[in-house]
Amino acid sequence: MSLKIFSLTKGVDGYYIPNDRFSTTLITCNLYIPLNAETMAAESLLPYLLSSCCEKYRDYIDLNIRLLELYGADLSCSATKSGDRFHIKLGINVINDKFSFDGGSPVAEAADLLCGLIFAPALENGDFSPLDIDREKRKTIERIEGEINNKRSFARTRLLAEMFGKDPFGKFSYGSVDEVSKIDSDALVSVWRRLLETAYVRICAVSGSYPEKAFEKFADMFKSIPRHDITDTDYFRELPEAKSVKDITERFEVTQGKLALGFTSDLHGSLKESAALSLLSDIWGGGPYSKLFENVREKESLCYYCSASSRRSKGFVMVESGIEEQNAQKVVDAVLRELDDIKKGNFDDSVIEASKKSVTDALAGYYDSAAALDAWYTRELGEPVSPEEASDIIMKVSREEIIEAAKGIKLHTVYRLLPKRGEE
Amino acid sequence: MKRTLCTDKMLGEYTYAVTDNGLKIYVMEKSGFSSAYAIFGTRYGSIDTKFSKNGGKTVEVPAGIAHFLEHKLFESEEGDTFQRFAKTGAYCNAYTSFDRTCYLFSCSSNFEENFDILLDFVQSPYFTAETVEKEQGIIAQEIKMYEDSPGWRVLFNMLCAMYENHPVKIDIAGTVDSIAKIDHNLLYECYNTFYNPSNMYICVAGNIDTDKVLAQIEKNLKSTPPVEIDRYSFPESREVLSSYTEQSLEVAKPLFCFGYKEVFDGRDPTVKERTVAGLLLEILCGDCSELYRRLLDDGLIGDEFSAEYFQGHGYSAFIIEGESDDPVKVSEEIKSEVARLIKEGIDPRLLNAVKRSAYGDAVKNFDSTEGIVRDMVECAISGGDLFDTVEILKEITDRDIIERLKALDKQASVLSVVSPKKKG
Repeated sequence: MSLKIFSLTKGVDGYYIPNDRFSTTLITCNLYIPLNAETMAAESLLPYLLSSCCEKYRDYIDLNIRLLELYGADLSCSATKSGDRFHIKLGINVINDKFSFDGGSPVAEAADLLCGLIFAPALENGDFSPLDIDREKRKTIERIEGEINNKRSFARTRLLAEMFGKDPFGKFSYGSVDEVSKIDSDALVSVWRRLLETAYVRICAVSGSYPEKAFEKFADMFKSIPRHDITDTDYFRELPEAKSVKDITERFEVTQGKLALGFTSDLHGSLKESAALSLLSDIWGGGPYSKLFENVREKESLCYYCSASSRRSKGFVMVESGIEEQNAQKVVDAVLRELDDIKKGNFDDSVIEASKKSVTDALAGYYDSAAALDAWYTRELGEPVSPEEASDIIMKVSREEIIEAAKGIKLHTVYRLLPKRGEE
Repeated sequence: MKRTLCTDKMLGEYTYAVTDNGLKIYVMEKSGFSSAYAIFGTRYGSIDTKFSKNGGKTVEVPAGIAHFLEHKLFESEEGDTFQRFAKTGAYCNAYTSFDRTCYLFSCSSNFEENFDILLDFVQSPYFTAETVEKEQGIIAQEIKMYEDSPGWRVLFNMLCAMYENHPVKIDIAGTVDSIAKIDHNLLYECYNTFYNPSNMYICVAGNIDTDKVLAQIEKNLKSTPPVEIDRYSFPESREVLSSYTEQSLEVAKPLFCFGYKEVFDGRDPTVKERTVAGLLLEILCGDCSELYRRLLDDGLIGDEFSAEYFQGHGYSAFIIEGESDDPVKVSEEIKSEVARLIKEGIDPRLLNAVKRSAYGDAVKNFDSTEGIVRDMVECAISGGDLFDTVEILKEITDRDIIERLKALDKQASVLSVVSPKKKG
């Protein structure tokens, strides 16, 4: 059985991903709006607020007990950048009806609950409660301040901020502490209404049987809202090549340094348009067959990890590594040398084959995870391609296309997070 | 080889087998799945630093050797194991914890070929003075990476304050000094003791054929005679060394790890005792508990708040960790809540909800080949059956939980804090 796509109402699509391997049904509501630096902090906070309480369960403990009673249904939410779109997701994963003790329908009840959280929040006289807002603001501020606890992701966040500058893609999704502090009910209500009225929406269900009631419920709810100015899903803003490489070093109380390199690429967009970029980054620094793993880590023992990853939706590649300060420049040189080698075609066909096998093997595994399937069909906009079709596209990428993709890669920003020196 | 078919009318069936030389095998076919997941593991982890084999003299080895051995086993005389897997497209990896080392792969095709590689490399050690020296550099980098991880430090500082003798308090990878003492002879000594089939297990789930898997094991398993391993029992009293420990690191907010030490008088906890521990933690401090509400509403905790039943051979503890501006107050609140629950009893609705949720989690776990195999490994090491949880949950009453709460001794508790560095 393959993916079924249907329109629920204006700018709202239903995606049914039939899969009878699981004992659960996963339903997610995905809302996409343009990236906007000004409103991103409130847009990030909203899904956390919506998933903490609602009109029916105003108290978050009551909501949490309800989830336990629904056989431990997993409620999840996220706010992430997907290319030049902001992607807000609320979802619920619940065991299928046949596993219920008492003949009830946990799937229908979970879908009702999810709809209640999104469409009937805990408003009082049209406002979110100050207690709820303050609680979620405090948690968000802690998330922002806690970013430093994970040095690897902190270095990545700093790299993107430096690399993208004023482009909202470089902004930390949660915003700044100052921005979050200023969020009030008016801002949140305004974001909530704008999301429901203007977002492009994808309702996704991964289940063994078609959850008709769930789709109907979402269709009815969206039909009751004046939908207008629906978000354009094709928009793309290119990051220009750097005139000179941006070089940033920051020092913290750490034992091991981190290095993050950002590269622009002339390939971006759907898998069909930029499959060579995915393979290039995998051959450069993906699996254990990659050049960075084999040479920088294994042969030269310069670091514990050194890996490359591409973001096709925004057309760039990152290389990340944990380093000793005295090796920092050696690692940068080695990373660039390996890229040059690929540009010159100095790599065996066996590496391409290993990369293709690894990528396509992993793609086949998507069918064994409901969360992976949901992420696959919601993280990119545009014409959907199944994991199976993606495998075919990957297998057709030629050696020449990989070399061309490498030639289109340009170093943009070097970010180093290094230990403080004695007197600092 | 002795085979047993274990069945559950809702959850499916799996085969448990034991070879003549004592290797435990668990195999579960998952019809319709695209991939398979396999582990070849040994009951050998960082805590196994003092032991004797077949009644011989007791040997003491440097901390971190199990993890070091794991790294080295990927090398063979013919080359690197990663490269062998790269040719098939499988994902392969390994991990070492306190009481186990597991070698794993997942794949969507070429299962037999991958399984052959797994069976071969785990049974073919190849250590030389030269390769051991090179690995010391890579592992030293890994150890340094963990030194910067506040979450890791806060846990180990707590274990150091909790345990006087038990090696669970030493970092799994050891220290830069301890791994410098490792040589190829020591690696062989540990290998020949712990990588014996009688101390090992193979766990497989996914799109496989049980008969073929068992036949492949019979064909490839070396006929090494069983060994008798006597693990030194590190004496531990009920008391802790210190009730408070603190370290400063580059963090935004203090991290805490609060634990109750549990002593089982020379035996390890049963499956039921482990299940009760999980429910107890959910009732005590899960996101549906009164304690959680109090801490969150008072601004004492945020997103980062979780609990774990931490247990292995010779150690057992209830651990609650998170971030807070006032960790001492949080620990006092936990102790008060334990006392309140003992005095006032457990809300029957909450107990019922927590049990329903645990049932749902058990059902959901069978949707993931990785989850199934992880549970199989737990059964191989700690005993029990894959389907035990569902039956045991039915038996558990509030009395079981109250009795266990009564055993939590506030005198045998430790609060570990990682606080932010003072500025200036």
